[in-house]
Amino acid sequence: MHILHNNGIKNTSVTKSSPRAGFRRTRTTVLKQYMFLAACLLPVLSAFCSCSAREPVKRHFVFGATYMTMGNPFFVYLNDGIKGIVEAKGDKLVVLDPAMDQEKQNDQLIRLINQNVDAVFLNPVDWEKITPALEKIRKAGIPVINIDAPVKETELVNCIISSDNRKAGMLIAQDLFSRRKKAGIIVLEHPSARSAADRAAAFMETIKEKKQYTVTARASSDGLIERSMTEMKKILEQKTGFDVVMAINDPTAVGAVAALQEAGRADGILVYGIDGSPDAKRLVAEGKMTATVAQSPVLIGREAATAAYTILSGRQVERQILVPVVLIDKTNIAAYDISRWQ
Amino acid sequence: MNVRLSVPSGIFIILLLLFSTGCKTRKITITFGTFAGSAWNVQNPDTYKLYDRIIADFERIYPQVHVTYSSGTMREDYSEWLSRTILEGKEPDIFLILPEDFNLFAEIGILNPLDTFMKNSSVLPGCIFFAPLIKAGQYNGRQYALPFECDPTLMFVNTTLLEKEHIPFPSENWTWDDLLAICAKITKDTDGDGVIDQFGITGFNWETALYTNRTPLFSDDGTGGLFDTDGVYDTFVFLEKLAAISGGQKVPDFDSGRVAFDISAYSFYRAYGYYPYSILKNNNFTWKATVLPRGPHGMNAAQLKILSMGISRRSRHKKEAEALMEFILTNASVQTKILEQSKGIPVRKDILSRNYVRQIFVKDISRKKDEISTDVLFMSIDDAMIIRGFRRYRSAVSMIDKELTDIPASGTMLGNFLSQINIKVNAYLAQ
Repeated sequence: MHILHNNGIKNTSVTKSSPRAGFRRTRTTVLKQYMFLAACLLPVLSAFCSCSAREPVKRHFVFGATYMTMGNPFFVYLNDGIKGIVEAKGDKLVVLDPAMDQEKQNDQLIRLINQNVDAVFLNPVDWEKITPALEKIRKAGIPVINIDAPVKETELVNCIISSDNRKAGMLIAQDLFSRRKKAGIIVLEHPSARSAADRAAAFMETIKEKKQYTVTARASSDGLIERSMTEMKKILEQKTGFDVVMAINDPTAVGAVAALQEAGRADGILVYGIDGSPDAKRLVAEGKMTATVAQSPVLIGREAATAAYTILSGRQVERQILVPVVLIDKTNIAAYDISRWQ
Repeated sequence: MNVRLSVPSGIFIILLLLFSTGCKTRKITITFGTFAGSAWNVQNPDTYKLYDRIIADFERIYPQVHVTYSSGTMREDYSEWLSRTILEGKEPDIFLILPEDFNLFAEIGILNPLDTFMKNSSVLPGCIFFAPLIKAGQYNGRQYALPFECDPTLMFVNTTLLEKEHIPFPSENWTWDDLLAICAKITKDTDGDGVIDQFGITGFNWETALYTNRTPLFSDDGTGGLFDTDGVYDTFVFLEKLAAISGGQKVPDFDSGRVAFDISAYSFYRAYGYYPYSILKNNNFTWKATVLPRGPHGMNAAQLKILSMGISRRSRHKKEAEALMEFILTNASVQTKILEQSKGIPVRKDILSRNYVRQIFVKDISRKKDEISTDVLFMSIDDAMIIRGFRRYRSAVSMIDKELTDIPASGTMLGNFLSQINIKVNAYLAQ
């Protein structure tokens, strides 16, 4: 069982801080300076500082979270789902953004180990290259709740909570069958993220038996709107024939729509995304995107937080929790709130 | 005897040689405090690319210095993270300072004064900087911070709506009266159902209006309010006239396409004025950014947010930190990269004037006719009012915000109301 401890942040005794050589002041002035500094900063730090030694110490958990990029609103809302539960219990969540850089994410995990966090919510940038940092975190005895995109070495995490990614890919393929008897398809993927790889793989497997549906180009968007637009522009320059774009997430789909629109090639092209983001739903409602398979980042976040507390209380959690997905197109969009995530 | 003397001497010489060799090769590591994403709460996936590029270029010129930074801290958590490092005595040698934190950090004395560094620098005098950005880093007559980038406030104009109503695009020295006249002409019920459905402006709040009238609300030292001045009175009379045009009806978002003007930040324009993000905004009308209208005492510029850099007073590597700061401020390539990869504007004024930099706006813009003019940017920065901040500025503003937003009718009541606010503010600041 994990031992509960203080918040992991040193309770710095301000009056005992010794002035460094750089300060050319008398000791009294320096002490005053520090006391003033503490008075100014303590409200900010109230969440960190523990109670005085005479009072019974209220133990709080500190959680760490690192997502592949907070530039994707999906992770902002997923984080909100976790944060809502963690903060309601008076605990703390330290969120770090590696901005799609696995080396930075590995460094961030080491930082979280050094901060003695009680558990980590992890969404890896690269499902393989995360392994060395995961091994260290396992060695430190810190539970890992793997969210959205599974890691390769699944025995190094306590549980995996994600959308039913394979189902998302299948739903797009089935919807495509209902709209087009044949199609030339661009797949905008993100192979280093397992969630995206599963979506693309399930899509490819579903269309495999139908020869009239062919993939004419594949490119990696890293799940980012800007990179998707760049890749889509390259494809357009190569004059590849296509009439469908299958994007592994909504930012990728939006990037593709932008490239198509800029090139004046949007007419007659079906564009699919996955996420169910407000942006994509609006584009579906406006007829600029064909459909988006909706995930529920807030629900994934809540499930993840619940799993973390279950693990910290010494109880077992399911190894894998799949959150259902649903396809949203013009026929059913009225049933969803366009301005929010589900 | 000679042998006995030579052994310790030999050891000494070897140690000296080892020490001197070590000194020659040992790198000095300085830490750079920063955060992930944009300072201006807009999408920006390229911030690490920018920092990594700056550091790599700096280390090439200064091979004896190694710069590190802790990645990942979110912008919203940065103030708390930095404050904690300060309390623990582990703050970075050089760090970014968010606009809302400068006054506090300057007041508590954690920032090293930069006056001597600026005076002794051989390259700083050779650069032309935006003066208000330098001025904003001063506190009690001393320079404590220098700018990394800034985010001026601009007026967004629905040009489709203006053309439809045969109204010319406002000039770059337009006034509050011009704005009132255009709003009065634009605001109407276009479908005859008795309800106004086309509007003049959204987002012009009291704080923005005060900036455009160059009217501070507090004394420079933060000991008292200035709510009973003519400038403040005129500002609220103007706001009341503006609100009266729409008859108190709620004005829809600018994105609706039914509003002529919207106040927003340059960073917003940079983030959403271009593909791919522009497709997330309304494409049913064209828009263009310009300067804000000025009040009778003011200029055509409003709020200017500044992301600054400071050096810790406790840093053991101030010289190296100053070298990095100087490099960021003066290196043309770095300054251009800031313009390209962040959503803000760098401090070197001459960078914006360069032809190849102007191509950044033209190349990326979704519709060429929406191109932003550099003259608009110059005016929005050069003419911005820099508020002499004090520690309780934001809390004082928050305290009165609701009352000033819901201000009562003008005339004697308005005068009395502002006097009462002044008394309340003075009492708060005297605490």
